[in-house]
Amino acid sequence: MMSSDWALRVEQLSKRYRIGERNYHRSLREQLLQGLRRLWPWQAKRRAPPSGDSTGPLLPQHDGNSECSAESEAEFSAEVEPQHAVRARLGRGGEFWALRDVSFDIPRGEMVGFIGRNGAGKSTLLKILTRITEPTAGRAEIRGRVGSLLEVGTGFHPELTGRENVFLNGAILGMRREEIRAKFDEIVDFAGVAHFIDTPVKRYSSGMAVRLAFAVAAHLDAEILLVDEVLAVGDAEFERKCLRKMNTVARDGRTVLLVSHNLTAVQRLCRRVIWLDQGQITADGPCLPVVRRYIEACKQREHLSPLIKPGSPYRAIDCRVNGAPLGRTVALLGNEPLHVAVVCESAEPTRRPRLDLAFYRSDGLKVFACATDRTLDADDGRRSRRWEFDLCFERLDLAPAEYYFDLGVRSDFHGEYDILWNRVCELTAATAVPAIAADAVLLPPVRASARAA
Amino acid sequence: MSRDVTVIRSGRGWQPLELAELWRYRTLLWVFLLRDLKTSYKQTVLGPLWAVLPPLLTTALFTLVFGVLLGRGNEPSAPGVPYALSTLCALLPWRLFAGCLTGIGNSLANNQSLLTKIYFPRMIFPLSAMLMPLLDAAVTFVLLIGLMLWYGIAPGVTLLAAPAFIGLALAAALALGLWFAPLSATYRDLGMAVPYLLNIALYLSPVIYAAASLQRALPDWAVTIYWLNPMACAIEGMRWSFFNSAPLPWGSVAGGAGLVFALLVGGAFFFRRMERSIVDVI
Repeated sequence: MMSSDWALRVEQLSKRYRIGERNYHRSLREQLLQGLRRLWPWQAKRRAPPSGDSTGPLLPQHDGNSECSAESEAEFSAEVEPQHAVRARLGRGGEFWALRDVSFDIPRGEMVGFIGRNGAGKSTLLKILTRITEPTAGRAEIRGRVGSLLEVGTGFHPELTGRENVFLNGAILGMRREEIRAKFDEIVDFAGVAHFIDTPVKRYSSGMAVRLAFAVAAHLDAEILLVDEVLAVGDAEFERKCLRKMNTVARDGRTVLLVSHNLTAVQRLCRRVIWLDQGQITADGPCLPVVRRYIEACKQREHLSPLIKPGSPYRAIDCRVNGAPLGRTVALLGNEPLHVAVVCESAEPTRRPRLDLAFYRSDGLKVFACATDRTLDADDGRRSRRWEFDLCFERLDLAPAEYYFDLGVRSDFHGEYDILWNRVCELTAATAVPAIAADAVLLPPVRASARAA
Repeated sequence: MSRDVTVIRSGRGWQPLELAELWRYRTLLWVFLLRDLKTSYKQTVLGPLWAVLPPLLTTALFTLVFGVLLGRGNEPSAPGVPYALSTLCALLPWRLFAGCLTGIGNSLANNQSLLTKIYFPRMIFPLSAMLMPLLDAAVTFVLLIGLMLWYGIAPGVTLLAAPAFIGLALAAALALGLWFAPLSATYRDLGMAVPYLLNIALYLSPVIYAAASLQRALPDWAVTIYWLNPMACAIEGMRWSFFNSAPLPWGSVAGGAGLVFALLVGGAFFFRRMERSIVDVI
């Protein structure tokens, strides 16, 4: 592309993680011990734990720190992908390429969507473009000021009032004081929290806080806006507001990079879509054909065998949906029960792990998430080699559509799953109740009548 | 509309300090100070008294233990200056140093959520950790002047040099902190070690005693080594500027300041070098 009016130009961008580089709580003592082991290899043979000592977390994560909230904890926020794909990207010496030779140009004023499975490298790409982390190789050139809507509410302080947080958040995002002051009313108005602007944010409902945070970020005067999964922050009305805002942003000649699993939103907003897979660009072109190819590819891929975290003590013994082993499409009437049963074992007795389930509509809308324990601490101290999990839904009352879910077993807080089934089961819900809105998610049982009175 | 081109690429080895970029983000320092100010006394009973009480209570304690119970042998640095006054004067730079160093050391580890989600010059974190201790020091300064007047001692013209020694204590904390912060983000051990090391350093610095009393007790070479401690220079410098009695060993003070400067420049480059990989390991 010889267009001279580019806003962003990425050339052969690559990012490598070393396995174990993201070890949590890496203490000096461990490092010293490792160094000693290297000096006396015979010691290492005797002392090295059976799981191997260099298998730390494999992949970069969004939210692995202890601050993760109860909601995000139930999500599958860790970037994971099927084992074969991981292996394919493992270089020698335990290297892992989250991005490999990615190149593209984006002209000014274009709105480009980035799609791809979890772990495809989308978030890594945005993190490099926002300078949070550095690329291992390659370069990117950005013309103009960059604003990012990566994690809504970053830096919000619960003790401060809404007004104070607007200034704090704005400054963190790179706005000058006068700029914030000039836009203050607009921001508050957009968020719809005018009545509570002098109330501490800790008294806000989570929806209000997120709306305020989004409003600050959306009013950033950036020529290039990087947006990561923020459209699903509020109710339907607020989402419409956001989409409208994004449209005006694009019309103003600003450039937008939108990362989303919400294919509906991507289709609505973007003319061009880049599909990332395994750290590389699979397709880059007009929206509709690329999204179609992507959906096809997702359908074809069957992840029947789970992804096991390297070094994890657990192995999956059984996983059944409504009594049938995985691997079949399950048809479900909207009001029928859904029963998920998972059995896992480990060589040594372990404390109680947890089974999480995240349920999505086929377009990526998250319908709900739940788990066998509320927190990972809810543990009676029992240890066992074999754990059996059951999640029983008496009825789901889903509107007719296609759904799938992810299942994960984990034993620590860091968000990494020991065993993970991605998109394990495609469900087709049908219903006997006549539905009016085709895009609705739920069809709750209703006793309806209309009488002439 | 600005059309500056930002180039992102992998930087290897030592990087320039980019002080100009740091300056562009100065609003952030101000905003962080306001945040800390507004939140630090929330849900406390004593409120801002927390800025006043600790230096006074520590002074009272030290005076009781070292000035009264243990008696003589702990001469104040200046003849005619009460022990309590001399100690409060020493506590000003000392508490500033200790507060800053603790804050800076934990600044990266404590701001993990910001660090991994948004970019601004990482140097902002250690710098903003120095603001609240600095404010504390300002309160202590007022207390100290008040106590002096109460004792009937008028500050002399040397008081004008006090900011230089406060600056030395700040620079010493920043110099060490810039080395500590990236390391303690990776190795959490350091976060635990810093308070302990500070405890030891309290006794290695002339806070509860005066450097002059050491000069009588130690051989010359040991005194020379002692003065390499930049905090010895800062504290004795404070006493000199407030009470102007004992002359300062200017050669040693210059040496201490030089050491701080070298550590500071080295620390800044070290920090820049480490900050690039911190997101991936924190």
